[in-house]
Amino acid sequence: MEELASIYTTQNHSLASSTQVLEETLLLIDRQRKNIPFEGIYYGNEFCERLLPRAGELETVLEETRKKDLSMVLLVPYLTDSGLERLSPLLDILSGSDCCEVVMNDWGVIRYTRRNFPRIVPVLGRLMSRMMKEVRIKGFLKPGKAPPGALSVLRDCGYSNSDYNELLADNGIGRVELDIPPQGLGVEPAYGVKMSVHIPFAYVCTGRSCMPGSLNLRPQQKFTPFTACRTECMRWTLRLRQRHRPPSAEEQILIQKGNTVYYLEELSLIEDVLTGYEGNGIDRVVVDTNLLS
Amino acid sequence: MKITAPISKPYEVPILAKNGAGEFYCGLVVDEWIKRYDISVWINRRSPLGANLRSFEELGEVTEKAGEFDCPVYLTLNSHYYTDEQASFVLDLAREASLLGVDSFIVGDPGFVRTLSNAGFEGRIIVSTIGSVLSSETARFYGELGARRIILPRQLSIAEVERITRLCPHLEFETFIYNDRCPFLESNCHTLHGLPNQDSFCHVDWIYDFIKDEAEAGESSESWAEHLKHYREWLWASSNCADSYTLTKVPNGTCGLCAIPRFLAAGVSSVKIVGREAPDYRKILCVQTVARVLDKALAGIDEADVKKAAIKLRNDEETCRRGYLCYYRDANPFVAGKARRRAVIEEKL
Repeated sequence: MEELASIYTTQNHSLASSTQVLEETLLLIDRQRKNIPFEGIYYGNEFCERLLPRAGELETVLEETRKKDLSMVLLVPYLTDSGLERLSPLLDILSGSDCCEVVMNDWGVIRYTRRNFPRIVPVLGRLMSRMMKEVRIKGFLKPGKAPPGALSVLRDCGYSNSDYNELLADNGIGRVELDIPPQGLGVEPAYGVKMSVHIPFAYVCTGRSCMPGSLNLRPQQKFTPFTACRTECMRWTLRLRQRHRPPSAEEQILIQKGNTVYYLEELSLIEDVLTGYEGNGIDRVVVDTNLLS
Repeated sequence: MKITAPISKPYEVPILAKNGAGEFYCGLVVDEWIKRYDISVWINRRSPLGANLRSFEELGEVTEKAGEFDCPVYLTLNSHYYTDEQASFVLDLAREASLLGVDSFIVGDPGFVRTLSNAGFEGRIIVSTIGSVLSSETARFYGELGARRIILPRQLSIAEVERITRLCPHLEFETFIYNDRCPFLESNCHTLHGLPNQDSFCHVDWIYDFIKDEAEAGESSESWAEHLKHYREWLWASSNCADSYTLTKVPNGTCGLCAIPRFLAAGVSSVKIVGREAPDYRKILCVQTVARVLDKALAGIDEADVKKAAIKLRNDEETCRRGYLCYYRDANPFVAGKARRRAVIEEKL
């Protein structure tokens, strides 16, 4: 924790407020950790095809987690056809191991896996839990302010829909993953789907045109979905601030790493998830440290 | 290949049809929806106010006028998701719309694709970009659910589009051709457009603070400053250069005109013009612009000459050379060779 917080304290003074919020969040997670067994690691990336690991890297991580008696879950992003070709050897490795859970963020990946790697256990990733996460109007989205009909819809993400639930069942999906939206979670899958929640960062938007990934490209090559990058996302993390507004403790913390923008989830909502995690259908919490490393 | 044009008022139909539109898409927001859910919950991916028809009567007028030109009308029902209660409401709306002559429904939520299929609308479903079809596997997934056509996201290269269409000859495909580009994938964007006094999230002029140390990262702040200037220029192009026009009255819209010959060869069924909320004047000019290039491609003119004609029509070669207005930069003759080489390198990596 000391190490994580220090990443912020060495930076621009405008980040002071975010340091405080983040520290509180991490303290909360730490307190709750006593009650939540630490089971394993999530490995991979949900947002970028270019970051699919190589087979050798996956084998090394599998071996390390096995030695430490931890489970490993592979994260897979949305993929094009060429991405699916690169995924195939990874699924082949996992099919022969004890770690068969794969978080998928694309119906094509799910279809491909179900047909070719039936041993793999598909988990519906958080990119498939398409909630409204407009952090700039979070004040409006509180109970008592937003119309009740709107609020109940915005706290869901379609998992109450019976046809959607049948689709999950048909595709062998027994677990879905979620972020905590600014308006809070109100998700109740109709059948026995388990839920994971990512803390303390939720993603707002992501895409194939990567702003940081275009840093070292010539102008004509910048911001396309297909030009190669130098994995600038591994070296740069950016904080987004609104112009003409002085830094304040109330300002929403927005971070961009690679092709994705994230926000720091509200502490009280994280607390709700953590303290009630046995009763609210959520039986797994994924602590995202990747953004801070 | 047809031109699919946006509609928000019935009177636009004949004007756009006469100028080259072959299909129409529109949205419908009835008062009951707003009463139940407020304007903060959208039935489709445009604000309930402004970009949508507001009554079944208006929708009936649209289908009637479109029928006079033998043009199908598609209704957007492409919210990210519908709850059970909403799905029931929207299904009733789809049934009513079907009785009024709507041909097909543009849908983003796979759960609702299933709902429509189960309700007898199989084969009358078009998968929205919200469905996020980036591969042939995803296209097949939706085809198996009952979709007839797939609208491919703007963040695919021409080569990727060609691969999907080649591998899924049993499906129709629609690609974007003019106006508006999402800097992110719209299927994975969870913000709202149209907030009072606020830009769209992706178009906010953010200040970027570096959380990681520059020296450690190895790039200088000067290169970042220059890079962010390019990014802002690209964003400006993404929003149609503030919805401006060239001196020859061609809309400054994000553009895929140079890709038309390859789309035609790939069997793409239609090319889509974005902007249901745009003024009718802009819609007409967009349809005219696309139609002029499409006509040349349909006449069998050589690909290179079609591109030359498109660039000449746009009347701004410098901007075309830059490539920031392109949906499909690998079709841009000023960029394509380099772009293809890089794509090949990436593929090998």
